[in-house]
Amino acid sequence: MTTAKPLSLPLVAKIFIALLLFLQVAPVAIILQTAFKTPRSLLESGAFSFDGWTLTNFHRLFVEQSLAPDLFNSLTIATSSMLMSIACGALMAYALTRWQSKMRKHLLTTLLVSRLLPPVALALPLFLVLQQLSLHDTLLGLALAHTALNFPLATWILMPFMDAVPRALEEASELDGASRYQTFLHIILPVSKPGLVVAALFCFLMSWNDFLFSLILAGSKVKTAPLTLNGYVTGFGTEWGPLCAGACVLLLPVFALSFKLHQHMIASPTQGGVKGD
Amino acid sequence: MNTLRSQRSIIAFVIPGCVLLTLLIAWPIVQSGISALTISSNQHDNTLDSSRIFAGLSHFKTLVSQVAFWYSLALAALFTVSTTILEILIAVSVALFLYFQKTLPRIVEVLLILPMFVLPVVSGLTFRYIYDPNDGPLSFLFEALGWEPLAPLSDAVWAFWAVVLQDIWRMWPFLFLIVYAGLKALPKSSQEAARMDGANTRILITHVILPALRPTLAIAIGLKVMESLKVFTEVYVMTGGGPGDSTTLLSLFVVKQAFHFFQVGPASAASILLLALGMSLAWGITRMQNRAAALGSK
Repeated sequence: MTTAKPLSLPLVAKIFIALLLFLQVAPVAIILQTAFKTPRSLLESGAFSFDGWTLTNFHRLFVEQSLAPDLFNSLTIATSSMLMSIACGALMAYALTRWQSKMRKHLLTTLLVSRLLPPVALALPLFLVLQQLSLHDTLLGLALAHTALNFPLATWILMPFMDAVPRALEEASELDGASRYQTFLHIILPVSKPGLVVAALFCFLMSWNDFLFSLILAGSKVKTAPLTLNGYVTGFGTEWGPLCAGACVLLLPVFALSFKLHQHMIASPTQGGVKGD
Repeated sequence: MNTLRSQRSIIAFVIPGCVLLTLLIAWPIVQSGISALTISSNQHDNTLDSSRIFAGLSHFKTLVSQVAFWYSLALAALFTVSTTILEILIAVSVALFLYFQKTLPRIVEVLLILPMFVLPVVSGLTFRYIYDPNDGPLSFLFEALGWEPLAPLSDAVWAFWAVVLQDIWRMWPFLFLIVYAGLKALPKSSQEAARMDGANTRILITHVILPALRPTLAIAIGLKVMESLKVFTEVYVMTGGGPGDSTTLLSLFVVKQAFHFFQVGPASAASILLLALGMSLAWGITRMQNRAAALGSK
C-alpha cells in the first residue's frame, strides 16, 4: 500500500479549503468576540479592536433586558416537547416494528411526509386550530405543536433500535407473565436507550432552534428566547453587544448537545441507519 | 405464536402519535382547505367558527392575480436553484478534497461544518450584523480599506444575494455530510482498477467517482430543494422580506398575507399550494431513496 504515491493536490485546492475554513469560522468568531467586547470599543472601531474582556453585555442581557424568563420558556417548551416526542415516538416505533397490518405502511408514509412538509404551510392552519382549542399563545400549545412536528423523526430514529431487540427476549418476558406494556417498559425501552438518547437530543434541539412557530403560535404572552433576541433589532440602531451575548447563550446548549449527539451516533451499533422498507 | 390478542394490543401504542398527527397536522390541513374554499360572512373575521359560504376557487383566483405571489414564487425558485447549485459544488469539492487528503486533522472537518449547528435565528442575525452599514464588521473593513460604504440589505438586488450567501454558509455542510458519507461508502475496487490502467486523479474523479456518486447526489439535491422550500426564519430575521418585496420568498409571502394583511383566504390557498409542492417533492424524494436503496442492496 505504501508504494502508491500519495496524491498531491494542486495548490489551488489547498487555498480554496483554507479560504473556506476562514469564511466558515469568521461569523461565529465575530459573534463570540462581540459578545465579550465593551460597548465603547464596539462603537469606536467595530469588530476589529479588542481592549479586554467584559461581561457587561451578559449583565445587561439578564439584568436590564431580562432575557431569563424567555430563556426559561424556551427551556420548558424544548424539554416538555422532547419528553412528549420521545414518548409518542417510542410507542409508535415499537408498534411499527411489531405490527403486521396494512395500516403499518400507511402510517410509515404519513410519518415521513409530515416530517418533510414545510412548517410554514402548517403555521397558519395550526394558528387557526390552536385558537379554536384556546391553546394559542400558551406554553402547552407551542410544546404540542413542536411535538407533532418532531415526534415522527423520533419514530424514524428509534425504529432500527427497536427492531434490533431480539424477539426471544420479548417472548421470554411474556412467558414469565409480563403483559406487552410491561415488556415494552422493562425490556424494550432499557435496551434501546442509545436510540432514545439520540432521538431526545434531536427533538430538544429542533424545538430549541424553532423561531417560526414561536412567532406565529405565540409571541405576546409567551415569548421564547429566539423571538426576544430578534426583538433587539430596532430601526433606530441595534445594540449588537447584548444581542451577540444572547446569541452565545442560545448557541451554548446547541454546541454542547451536538457534541454529545456526535459521540452517541458514533457509539451506536446501528449508526442511526434506517432499514429500508 | 403471536396471537390476535397481542396484535390487537399494539393498537394502543400508536394512539398517542395518531392523535397528535390527526389533531395538529391533518386537522389543520383540512381547516386550511376549508378556509381556502370559503368566505366568512363577516369579512374581518379570521376565526373558523362563524358561518362560512362556499366560495369555490375565488381565493385561488385572488392569489394568482397578485403580482406579489408570482414574484415570491419566482424568488423562491431562483433561491432554490442558486443555493442548490452553489452548495452542491462546494460540498462535492470539499468532500473530494477530504477524500484524497486523508492527513488533514479532524478539527478542520469539524470547523468546516460548524455553521450547520448555528440556530437559524442566530445565523440570520449574525449576517444582519455583518452587513450592518453603521456598526457591522464589513462596513468597518470597507472603511479601513478606503472603499465606498456598503449597505447590502437596503439594496433590492444585493439583499437577495446576501440572503443566498447566508444560506450557502449554513447549508453546504449539510450536503457535504451526505456526499462525503456516499463517497466513503464507494467500493474501492473500481478506483484501484482505474489507477492500474493509469488514470490520473482528474480522470478518476470525472469518470469513476462522480458517475458512481450519482444516486447520492440525487438524494442530496432532493433534500436540499426540500429544505429551500422550508427556509423562513433566516430571511425573516435578516431582511423581513425587504427591501420592498425583494427577498419575500414564497414562505414569507404566506406569512405576510396571513399575519400582516389578514388575508386568511388567499393565505390558506397559498398554504395549500405550498403543501402540495412540498408533498410532491417529498414523494419524489422517497421514491428516489427507495430506488437508491434497491440499487444498493443488489
